[in-house]
Amino acid sequence: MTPVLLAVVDWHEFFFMLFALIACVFALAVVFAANIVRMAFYLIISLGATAGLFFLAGAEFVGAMQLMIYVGGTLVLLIFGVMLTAQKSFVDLKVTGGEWVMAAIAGGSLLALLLYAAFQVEDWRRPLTAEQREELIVADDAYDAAHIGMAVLGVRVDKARQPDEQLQKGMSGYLLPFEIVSVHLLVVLIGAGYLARTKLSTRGVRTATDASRGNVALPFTVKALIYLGAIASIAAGVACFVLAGSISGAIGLNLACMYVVGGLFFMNVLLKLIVLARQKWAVSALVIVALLQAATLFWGGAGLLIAIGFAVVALLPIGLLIFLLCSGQRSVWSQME
Amino acid sequence: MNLAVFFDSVLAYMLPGWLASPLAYLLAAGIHLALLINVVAVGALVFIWMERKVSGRIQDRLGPTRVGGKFGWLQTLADGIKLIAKEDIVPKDADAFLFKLAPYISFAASFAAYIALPFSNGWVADSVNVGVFFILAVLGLEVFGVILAGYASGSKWSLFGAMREAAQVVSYEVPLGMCVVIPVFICGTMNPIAIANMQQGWFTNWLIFHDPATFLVFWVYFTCAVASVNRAPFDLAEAESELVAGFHTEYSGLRWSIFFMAEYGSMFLVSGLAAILFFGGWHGPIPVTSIIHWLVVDMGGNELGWSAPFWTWVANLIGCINFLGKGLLGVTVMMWVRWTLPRLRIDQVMTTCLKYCVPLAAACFLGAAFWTVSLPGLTLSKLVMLDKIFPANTYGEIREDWVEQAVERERIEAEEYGDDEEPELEEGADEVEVAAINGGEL
Repeated sequence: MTPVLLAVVDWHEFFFMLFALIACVFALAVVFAANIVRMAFYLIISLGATAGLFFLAGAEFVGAMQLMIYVGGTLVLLIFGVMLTAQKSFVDLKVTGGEWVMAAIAGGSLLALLLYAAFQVEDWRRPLTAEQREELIVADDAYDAAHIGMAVLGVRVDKARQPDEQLQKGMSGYLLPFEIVSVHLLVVLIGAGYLARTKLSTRGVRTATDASRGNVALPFTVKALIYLGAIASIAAGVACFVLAGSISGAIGLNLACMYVVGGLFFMNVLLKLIVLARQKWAVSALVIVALLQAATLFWGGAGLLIAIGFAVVALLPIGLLIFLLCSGQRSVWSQME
Repeated sequence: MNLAVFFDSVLAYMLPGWLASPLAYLLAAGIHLALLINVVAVGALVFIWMERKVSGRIQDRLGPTRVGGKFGWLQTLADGIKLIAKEDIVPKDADAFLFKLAPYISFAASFAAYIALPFSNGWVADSVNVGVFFILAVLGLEVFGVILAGYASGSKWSLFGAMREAAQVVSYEVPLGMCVVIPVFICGTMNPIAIANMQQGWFTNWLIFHDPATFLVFWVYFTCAVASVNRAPFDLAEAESELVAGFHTEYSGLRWSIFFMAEYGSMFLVSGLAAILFFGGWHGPIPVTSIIHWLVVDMGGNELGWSAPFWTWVANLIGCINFLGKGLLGVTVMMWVRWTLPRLRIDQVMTTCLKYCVPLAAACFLGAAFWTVSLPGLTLSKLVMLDKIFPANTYGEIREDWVEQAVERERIEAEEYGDDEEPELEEGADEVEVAAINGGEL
């Protein structure tokens, strides 16, 4: 970085102005464009300029994320939807006067709120002096993405830099939110895959697969057994959590394992509901869960005898359920999915 | 040896100081820019010629043999001149603005990813700390040009081709990302320079020979990369026999050639990325940099007047040629595959992605993670005792406890430098240590 070159033009300022101008102008173009596809295109450019602003601030990881998620992901989908709904090559959107007024009120009030909130920060009220700007120019690899990666795994590497003791105490990692969001995304993926599945039968017309199924309702005995089992599992699960201390003391079990067993009881309830939905795999999952509970009891220190006793007691009703399902000439088992 | 500093010292004799310095930097920047854009432009020239020759030979014919000598070296130039001279046609139903803009978006996305692609140690336009991620993100933007081309052409063939290509590229980004993450977590960094430098030494240090899962994942990566750039068996979008010419049906002349520069640019880019991630980047089968270092520093070349910065530059140059060779090899394999395998239908393309590539990449992810966690520091070459002959790279092992090291480093810096100074020792200290072996130049 030669000082001479910097002194002639303040490149940082220049690029900030450029990216900010592009972002704002194309955002306005989105509002005033008449053609949907052009609107989506202007939005791409606007979000791309925002990514440029992130890169300018030294936040390379966030900038790359912005490109991948917003620009790459959202807008490809947006353009898909747009193109599939556009009937002719030019779709004109007419915005009436009333809509302009409402939009101006909504957008304007949000803008006012954001500006007010932004200017509450003391440091953001006036432009930086030259020395402050020099301080802020980030060295190339001073903050790298490894810090972010480790923070979401629970290690706050920047804790050492925090001068304030109280603030330092509150700096914990982001592992729990990270895991929750990951599971959330997995659920969304599965849901999307399920929603986009090919549906087998159309309205009113029974396809061959449907016709061969025959009577798909579960017999009364099976349903009664499942409901009773569900109630028993709920009661057992609640007992595990509420009476955790006393039960674990009585049988010599680790407290954490008590909670695991309780959680598995609730999973049992879920699996039983899935059996009601005629899924075969849930039955085998019931067996596995019972065995898992027995194993947890054993490794938690409850003793081999109690673990085996629990396994027997838990597997008996499941065995009865399997027997009921598989019995009969045209068994319910063969009708399940 | 910094080119700008070199020019500065030369121009300082001829021009006053206030003019020499910015001029030197502008000159150096101009040269670097010209070199980078010529990788794409001249690369496209070479690849188109090579494609015609390779396809010709595979089909038992010769390919171009007349223009510019016996092997038709200048055929692409003649093609280029012809394309420039063609009439500029914009269809009546086309959205003219988007129609004209689309090829440039495609090319811009393909070229923007070259910003973060290093050609040798330190030879990169901008050393982005999350370089690998940045390259993937920008590569995914190439599909915009395609979608806009398909839409704005105003013809249904173009629209179908564009839709299929968009679906394909977007789907294959998922397994591509998973395949790329494996070398990233083995090395502990997303910086492509650091990843390549960790594979320094003999070819046994290459990440492809790190564990069986990584070996398998390279092939999955290659498949997904080929699908991502719409080549070879996955070129539904350009299927001449089905969609006339897909999304570029209505494009003629120079606009078409810009699409193709974008395509060949992307091909070289993903091959180069594969070279960095799996094949050691610019570190060859033979450790040239170590040999030069040994000759210059250890054998006393310094006393003979061999300057270390100059020989570092020579080592970097050899590395760059090595890297270009590996990229070229990748592109050649892509061409070879194109003319060998029949084209996949669109449903087969999606099946390959969702039912084969994604589970395979995920399984290899688990395998590689399991290997790295439970058998730290063990590579295949150590397993077969090959590291007795070809010494293993010690830098590969510092990544095993990088969490503790990073925390410790932060703590030390916070104590030493206080809170209002920028740290002088960067987080990517591996590069500094590795660069020390190259004679002190980064």
